[in-house]
Amino acid sequence: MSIDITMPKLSDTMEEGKILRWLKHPGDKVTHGEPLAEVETDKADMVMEAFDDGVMQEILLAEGESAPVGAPIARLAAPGEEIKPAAPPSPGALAELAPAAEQPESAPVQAAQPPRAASRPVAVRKRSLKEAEEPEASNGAAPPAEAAKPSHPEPGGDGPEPKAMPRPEPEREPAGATRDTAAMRPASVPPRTTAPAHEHGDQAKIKASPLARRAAEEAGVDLAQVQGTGPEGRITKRDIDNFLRQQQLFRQRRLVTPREGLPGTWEELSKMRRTIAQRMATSKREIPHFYVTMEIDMEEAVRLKKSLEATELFDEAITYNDIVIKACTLALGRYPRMNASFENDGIRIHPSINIGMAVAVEDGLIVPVIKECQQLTLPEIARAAHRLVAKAAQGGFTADELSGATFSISNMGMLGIEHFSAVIVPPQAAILAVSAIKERPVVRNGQVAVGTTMMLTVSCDHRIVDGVVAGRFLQEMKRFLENPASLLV
Amino acid sequence: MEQPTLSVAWLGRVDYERACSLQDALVAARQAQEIGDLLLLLEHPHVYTLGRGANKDFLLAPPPGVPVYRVSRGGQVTYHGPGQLIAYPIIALEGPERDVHLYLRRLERAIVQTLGRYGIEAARREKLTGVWVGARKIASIGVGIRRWVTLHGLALNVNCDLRFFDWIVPCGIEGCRMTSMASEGQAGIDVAQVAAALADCLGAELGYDSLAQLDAAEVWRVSPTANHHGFEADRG
Repeated sequence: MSIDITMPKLSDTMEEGKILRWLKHPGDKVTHGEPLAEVETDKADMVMEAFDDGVMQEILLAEGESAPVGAPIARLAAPGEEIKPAAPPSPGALAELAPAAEQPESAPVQAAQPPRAASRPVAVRKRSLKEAEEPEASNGAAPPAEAAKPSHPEPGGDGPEPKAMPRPEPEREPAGATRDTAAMRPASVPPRTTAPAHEHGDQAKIKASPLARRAAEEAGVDLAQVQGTGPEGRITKRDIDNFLRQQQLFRQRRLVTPREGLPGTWEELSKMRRTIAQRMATSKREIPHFYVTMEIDMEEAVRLKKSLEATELFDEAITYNDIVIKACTLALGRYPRMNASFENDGIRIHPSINIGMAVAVEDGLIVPVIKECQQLTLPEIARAAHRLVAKAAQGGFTADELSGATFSISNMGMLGIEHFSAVIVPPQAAILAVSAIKERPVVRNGQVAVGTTMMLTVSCDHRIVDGVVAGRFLQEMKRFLENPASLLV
Repeated sequence: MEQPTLSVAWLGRVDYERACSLQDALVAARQAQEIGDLLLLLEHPHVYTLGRGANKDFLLAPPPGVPVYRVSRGGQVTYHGPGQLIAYPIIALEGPERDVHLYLRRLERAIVQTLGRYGIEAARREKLTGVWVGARKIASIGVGIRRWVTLHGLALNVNCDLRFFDWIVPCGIEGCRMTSMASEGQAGIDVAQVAAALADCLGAELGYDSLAQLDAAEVWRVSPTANHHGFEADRG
């Protein structure tokens, strides 16, 4: 029985690989784990290792030649077996690659395949994957796909192609994100509630200010896609800015779709997941958490945000997230013990207020930091926050931007969350969980009325603060948010 | 609490050959989990290296006294020398990171960000691994992966003498023009300075929480003096 060795898949985007050098030659004894060949893709080369014991029987792909991923490149004879003339790979051999690509943890390189019955001798040097995928007419073997995944049934799959599992399509938006217009969004603009004014309008016929026209041209924006908010639906520069930011938000949404797991599989932790696992476990193990919640009347804050939009006072559109960060900074200034760390059996109270914003990214979350918030005005906070969120979508944080937080905020308002509590990020003293702004029944002067409120929950390290400090801190936030003119000072 | 930390060591100027044996020793130690992830930052003295399968014609006529090595890597011919920042990450790729192209793209992004800090707008180009400023190449990439531990890495031209590239056809691309940060308007900087920025960007791009500075002596302690067997000296 001979064992086929196929071109390993070293990347999701790898289509073919080149043999730089064979490290084993026909007749050489091969032991599991021994290097077999150097394979090159793009500008990276990788040593491929044997997955079985045996004797190198035949090399099918010469040094310097390329073959598609999954194509047989060599054949190994089982130990003690007489070396026979070349036998072609069975159709199943190629399909076997799919599991190899899905289980990178199984071995550096899926070098060898389980033995299978060899069939007719054919001098195969190089064949395309496509050719090889088609079972030969005379061969009554099962379709490649079935042979491919004996142990990996695809959910609902009937005759899948022998390819790596499709990635979950990240197009969906989080439920409630677009419907709840009052929902809080991290560093975003209010969602567009009406359809574009001009579906197929000619750029020239669309009413737009010259400034807006130029901005649209520079950014490659089709004016027909933009909703004008000026007189008679005229598009202003601000509309273009908002449109661009919204586009960015959509791009970001693509990223924040959590990685979906495949039922019945085990996956190794990425570095990010491992960090989250370690940190959160340490936090819950070592920090005695307690939680305090308060309902905040957001009517005035909503009004403030609308009036800022109407007057275009600031270049940067202010989001509820920015408003909360500002209010939080002011409250932390009054309760510095909430802006502290437990260190060497003592409490370090930090001189600056550096607020970490939890931002969801693919496969986890990161907490970029807005430094020295106590020195920033609301529009400055907005600018810093929007920049960090945009960066989170594209990647490319510096270590500095991800470290040094003294307090964190986790905002799930955009998901319409009623109320939640967050896990403290060590060594910080507390984390604020921000929920959605919603219309809720409120009691005013003994009468039930419809109000617009938001729940804030702060999780605190009981070693550092007690309930009364947490409560006062939330009262202070409530005072600022319910009297938001203070946030503009 | 254990966090993913990238240890960074600035080694100064290191012979190509010595750097190769050092990397071999570090890769073995990393595979055996004796050490954590590590980033070597250094400079090489003048050297030309040929990838396995490189066309020797691409080395037109090396100036006298500059050694030529044939190296166990892909790619064609390249030049390393003073004024060029070399970064060799010795890191274990895990889980979804085990994607060779993803790793290459991350290196490219880190270089682009580093250059961005100096006001140089650079980009990658489709199908051409490396980093470019317009049509001029500023950084080259060539990596090796051994049991999902990386070696080799990238070379960023900071203020090196670009005339040494005139003797070769870099990366096998005819008419490929090289550039450096100095030629792109950053004349006053030095390699060690850029090294710090690159370490920061690489650390963030590769998913580390923090960087830890490591003394060069610590790094050399891992490496035996044994000669590297993976390439043959081909001095000419």
